[in-house]
Amino acid sequence: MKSEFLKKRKKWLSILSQSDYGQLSSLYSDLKFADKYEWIKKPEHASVMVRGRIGGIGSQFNFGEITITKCVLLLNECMGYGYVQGRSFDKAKIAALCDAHLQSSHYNLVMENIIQKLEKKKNAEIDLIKNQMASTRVDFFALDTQRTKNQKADK
Amino acid sequence: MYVAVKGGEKAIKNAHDWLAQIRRGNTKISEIKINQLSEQLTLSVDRIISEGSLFDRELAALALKQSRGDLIEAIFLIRTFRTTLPRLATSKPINTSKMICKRRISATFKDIPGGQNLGPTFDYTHRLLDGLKGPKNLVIDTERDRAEDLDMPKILDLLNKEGLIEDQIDTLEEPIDITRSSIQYPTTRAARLQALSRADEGFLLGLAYSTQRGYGGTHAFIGELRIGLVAVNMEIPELEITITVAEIEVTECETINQFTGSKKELAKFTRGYGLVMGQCERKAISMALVDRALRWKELGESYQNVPTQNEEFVISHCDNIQSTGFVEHIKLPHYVDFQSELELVRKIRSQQMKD
Repeated sequence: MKSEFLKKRKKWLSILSQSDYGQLSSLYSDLKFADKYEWIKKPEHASVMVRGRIGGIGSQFNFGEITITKCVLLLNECMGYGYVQGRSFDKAKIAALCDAHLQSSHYNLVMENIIQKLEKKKNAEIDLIKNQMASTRVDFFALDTQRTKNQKADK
Repeated sequence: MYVAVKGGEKAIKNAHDWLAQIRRGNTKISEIKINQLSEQLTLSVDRIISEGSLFDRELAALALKQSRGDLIEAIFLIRTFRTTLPRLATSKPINTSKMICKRRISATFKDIPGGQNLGPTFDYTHRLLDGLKGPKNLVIDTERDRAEDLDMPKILDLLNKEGLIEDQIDTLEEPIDITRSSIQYPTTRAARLQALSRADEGFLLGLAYSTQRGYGGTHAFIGELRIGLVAVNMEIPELEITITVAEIEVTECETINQFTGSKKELAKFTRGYGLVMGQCERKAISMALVDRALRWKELGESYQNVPTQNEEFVISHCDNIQSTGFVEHIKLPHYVDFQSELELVRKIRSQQMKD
């Protein structure tokens, strides 16, 4: 049971972290929650050192850093964690509120109206990139030379 | 005789105010917005990200504006900012084989699984100033250009499976972080890659070119070049889960280089590796060439007394913030130092005249 919950939480936290702030905040305000929450840890900016692998597959090396914002809050006895890319206190707060709601009876409401919509938009963006890239894929044509022309004529 | 002086407050203030005026330019022309820079000068922004070694597009765009477009000044601003951030964690290593590619080509094999995908490249343009053509819609063939068909294995992995290229073994060694501890020579390949990844593009380009022109020479082919989005996964200890905390754009270049072999081992190709934040293709290629050249000792090659075989030379001069700090600092007041030199020369001259 616990692992099933962790698996779902991993997914929604991952979707929230990379979401577009404008979309997240408008979807969240549409739900008109009157949140009474308490800060456990107020939002703060931080960096994460990103690792790469030598040759893509070998030993690790330190590649470079990214900015993130994190916070923790308590909402209706649920601990909400906000870990988001970039430097937006408000985005981290909304992500943490969503995380808390998703542990409550609001699960379906938030899942359907926020998480799934964010995921849909993200998937559409990825599909567009893939389609555009595929449209730049090179088709090679072998050109006829005098020799291949002669060979064809002989047949 | 040197007298302690202070002053210049007014001069400095006016200098900075004038700088701000010039940065703004003609006020009859509308002011440029940060998001215009991050959306329209993307490759300048990417270079600031890569050499500032901090992936944050908005900040990089702000730095570009504040620095009047001086990229090294912008990188300086980013490097300064990053020192103010608490380091929260270290990510899991990114998996570039799962990249959502925007571009992926190989110069060694024509027919590759997933194909040669040019992406938004300057290659094959005529480099003519033709006015700025507005964006056009791509011709997408929905039958042919389907997203789900694009499984793109790493080209070097295919060679690796056949044993034709050196493997890259994960030694599980904890890499040093050159932002936290200074580099000791001889250093490790992991430390070098970190330094090269944040190095100055121009410096790396020049060094890479030198290896091709005969100062060293490791004869590289581009086995694969890919640009795209990768997930950054990080463990959240309190929750006992690993989440994708960010998605970043990176450029990866893997070169296939001249082979080695010995009585004990069959001949096989060797590798150079370039990995750069943002879309920085020229730099990723240069990095891979320089990485490979620096591996001469490990691969048992002879020393040819060229710059790219001297890791201390390359690594300690590749950072443009360190370089510019030291080179440019000599424009700042050195009145005391110079005064002593002046007195010394006068003394020597008067002595010489007596003789």
